Amino acid sequence: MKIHINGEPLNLENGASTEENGKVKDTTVADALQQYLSQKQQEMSFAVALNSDFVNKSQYANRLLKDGDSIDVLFPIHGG
Amino acid sequence: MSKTVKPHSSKPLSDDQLMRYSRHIMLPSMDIDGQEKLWNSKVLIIGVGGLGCAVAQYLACSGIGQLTLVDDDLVDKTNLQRQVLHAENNVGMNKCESAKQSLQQLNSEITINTTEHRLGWAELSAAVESHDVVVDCSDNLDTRNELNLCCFQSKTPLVSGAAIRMEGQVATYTMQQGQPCYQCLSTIFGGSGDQKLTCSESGVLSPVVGVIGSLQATETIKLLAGIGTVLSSRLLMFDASTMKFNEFKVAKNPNCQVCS
Ligand SMILES: [Zn+2]
Repeated sequence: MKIHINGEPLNLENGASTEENGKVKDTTVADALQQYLSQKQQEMSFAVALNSDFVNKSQYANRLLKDGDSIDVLFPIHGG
Repeated sequence: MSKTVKPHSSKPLSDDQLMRYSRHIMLPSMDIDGQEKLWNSKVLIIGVGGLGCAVAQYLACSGIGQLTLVDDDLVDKTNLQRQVLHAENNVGMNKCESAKQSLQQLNSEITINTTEHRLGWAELSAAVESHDVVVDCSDNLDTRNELNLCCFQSKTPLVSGAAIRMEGQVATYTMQQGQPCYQCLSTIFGGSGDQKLTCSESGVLSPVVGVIGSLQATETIKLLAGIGTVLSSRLLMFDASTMKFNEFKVAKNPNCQVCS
C-alpha cells in the first residue's frame, strides 16, 4: 500500500508480513507510525492527522489506512 | 466576535488619520468604519521576541489605538538576528521598553503600555479582561496554557502563534461556544510534553517568525475590524523548507479541562 506521510511517499509493508492465522491483517495508523518514526520519536509527544483530520491516540491502532491516504505527524511547537 | 470591540469611548478618526490609513480604508471590507474600530481597540501582546516584534510592528503601523506589551526579558545580542524592533544599542534593555522606542518611531499617535514583569494569575486575568484581543507570542507551554485559560474565562479571542527552526503554526481561538481552545489542540499531542524546544536550544530561521507574526497580526486586525473569516477550528502550519502551508481541522475536545 502506498501512502504519503509528511508529504513523502511511503510504501507500507502490508500483506504477507502482517498475515495472521492465514488472514491478511488490515494496516492501521499505528503500523504506519511504527514504520516511519524512529523508536526515539515514538516516545516523544506528537499529533497525527489522517487526511487533515487529527486522530486521537487511542484510535491509532484501529484507524484503517487505504491506498493514497495522507498522514501528517506533527511535533509540538512552542517557540516565540 | 464574542467580545465585540468594547464601547471604549469611540473616537472618530481625524482628517490626518483618514489620509494616513487611506490604504486600509480603500479596502471595501475595512472602510472608515473598520479603521475606526482599530483605532478604538486594545490589543495585549504576550512576549516581545521574534513573533511579538513582527506582530507589534504591523499592529502599530495599522493604527491599533492601544497596544500593551508584556515581557520580563532583556534584549540579548542573540535576539538581534530576528527580533526586528530591538536595535543594537538596546542590548541589555527590557524588551518592552526597547520595542516601545521603535514602535513610537513608526507611529507616535498610538498608546503603548508596557509590563516589564511576569504577570501573576490575577494580574494576567485583569489584563486579558481589559483588552479586545490577546496575541500569544510567548515561548513556553505553561504561559500558553495559562493565557488560554484566562482568555476562555473572559471570552477574549486568542491569536496563537509559535515557531521553531524552519516551521511555524497559527490558530485563532474565538472562545465562542462550540469552538475549540488552545488546550483542545495541545491535548492531541499528549505525551509527556517534555520536549522543551525553544529557539535558544533549537534555532529558528529569522523570517519564519516574521511570517508567523504577520499572520497573527492579520488575524488580529480581522477580528477587531470584523472582516473576513478567521482561523477558528483550523490550525495553519507553515514549513519554510518546503515552502508549504498545511491546514488541519481542530475539533473541540468534549473532555477538555478548559472549555468543556
Ligand atoms: Zn478546549
